[in-house]
Amino acid sequence: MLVTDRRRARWALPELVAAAVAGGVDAVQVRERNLGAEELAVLSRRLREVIAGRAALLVNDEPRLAVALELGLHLPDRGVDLAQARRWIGGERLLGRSVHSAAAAAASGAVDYVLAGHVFATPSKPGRAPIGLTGLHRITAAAPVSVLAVGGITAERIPAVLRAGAVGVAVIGAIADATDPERAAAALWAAIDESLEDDMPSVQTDSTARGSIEILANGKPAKVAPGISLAAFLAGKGLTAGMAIVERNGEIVDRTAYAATVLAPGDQLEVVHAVGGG
Amino acid sequence: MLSIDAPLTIAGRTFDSRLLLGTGKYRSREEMRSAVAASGAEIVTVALRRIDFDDPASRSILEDIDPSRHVILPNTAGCQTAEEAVRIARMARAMELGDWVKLEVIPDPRYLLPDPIDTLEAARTLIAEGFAVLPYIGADPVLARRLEELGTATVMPLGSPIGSGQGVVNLEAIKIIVEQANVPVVVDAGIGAPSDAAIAMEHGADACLVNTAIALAEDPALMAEAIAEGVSAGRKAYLAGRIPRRAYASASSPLAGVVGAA
Repeated sequence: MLVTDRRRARWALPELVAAAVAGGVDAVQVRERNLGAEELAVLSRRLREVIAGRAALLVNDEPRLAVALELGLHLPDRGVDLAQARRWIGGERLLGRSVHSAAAAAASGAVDYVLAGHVFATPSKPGRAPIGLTGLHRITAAAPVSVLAVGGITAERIPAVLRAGAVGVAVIGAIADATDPERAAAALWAAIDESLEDDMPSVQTDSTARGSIEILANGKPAKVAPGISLAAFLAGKGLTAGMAIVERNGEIVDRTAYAATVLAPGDQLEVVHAVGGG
Repeated sequence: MLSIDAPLTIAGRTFDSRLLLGTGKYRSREEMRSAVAASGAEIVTVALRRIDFDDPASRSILEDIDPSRHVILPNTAGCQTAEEAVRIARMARAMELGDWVKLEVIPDPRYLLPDPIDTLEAARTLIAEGFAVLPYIGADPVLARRLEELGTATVMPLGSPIGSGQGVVNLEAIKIIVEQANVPVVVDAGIGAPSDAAIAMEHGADACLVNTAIALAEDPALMAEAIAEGVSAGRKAYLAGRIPRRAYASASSPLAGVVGAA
């Protein structure tokens, strides 16, 4: 996940996001402080065009905007009623929150993922102590949903955060500060990929996959990106949502929920369509 | 069709065509499309299968059939148990093309004969879930009654095994099913030629479902048209009232006034 910060980026945000998505980022969280509602809406629409369905797009703490533009929503650690937020944006869209403690993570059953941090000291969070790998591990042990690590993440640190139980990472600077954001995103991917390959026996069935969690798709093992949505998985297979019917772990996934459905390790997918028959 | 004929009504929908068309086995998508057009069929069956991720040419048949112009009847072909059939029916409904399902539960690969017990069980579950169930069955009049009592939209007895082209070998049993049924009787499977379809329709079947005889004909579109005419001819004959069979001749010309008679 790329978290935006327009004041930090070397590039205009649409260009940065386009490069990051090309490099493999599969979720973008718009987190622009001190931007008016109208400007934020314009920016979000523009990013949605740039992303063109290749990655999920979420807005930080702007429920009305998320509803109006049909985007995902990322919520802060404190002062939010998650169940109410879920009712507000509906069951179909991606909902996540930041957590700094295992207790907050444990109470996050209503969201699709939590962002745990900051794991390492980072310029984005001056003056606050990082939770460290130990704190991250406590959170991943307590969270009922997927955990992404955030805060001071670099390609070198990815093996350690994944060992602590995170399924992916969120970054600002690792991509925004890079001279080549696409290559930076790809390097993060490669690091995730390698760490997971070291940790789990896997069968590489799709040479184009850079993904890093293993699922079973139509009876065959497949590696996909951690945190990837079902919509992105199908798009990666060249499928439009309209033609495919998906059963995930025995439950049919409503078509309108493909974007909000995040694949988890060990998921069993049956992806079918109509063929000639008598 | 004759003005005295009522349209075929299945699950509250009416149809002018009494030929249901299967879309399997065609040598090409072009042949399939032209056969669908030539048949005049308003109801076409499809199957559900896993998408082959390794085959970029793999595409949905719904790219070739317009669901706004045809009722799409998904089948549960390939299912060997009630549980599997219910699962596939639910997936089919997720296509959001309606609640119709052609229920097939076939554990036997050699003759492809349907399992009556699991078919009944699956029908019960699916009807409770609001499906319009069109069950493919052996030509068993008792089973047909039991399914109708459960609330199936049709009964679909087989004429002879799927794809065999043997014609309607179960005619006597199908006649009993027709006599008893209050839902449409669709003769499904085994029809090899227009004459087979005509025989079924002459004896009061409400419709025929045909796939292989058309798909594997040398000219599928022409055979589709021919079988549609066979269906239509048989239906007209049924409405017109066939003469009974007799053991002896009955001269067509007057017996009186024959020239030179004594």
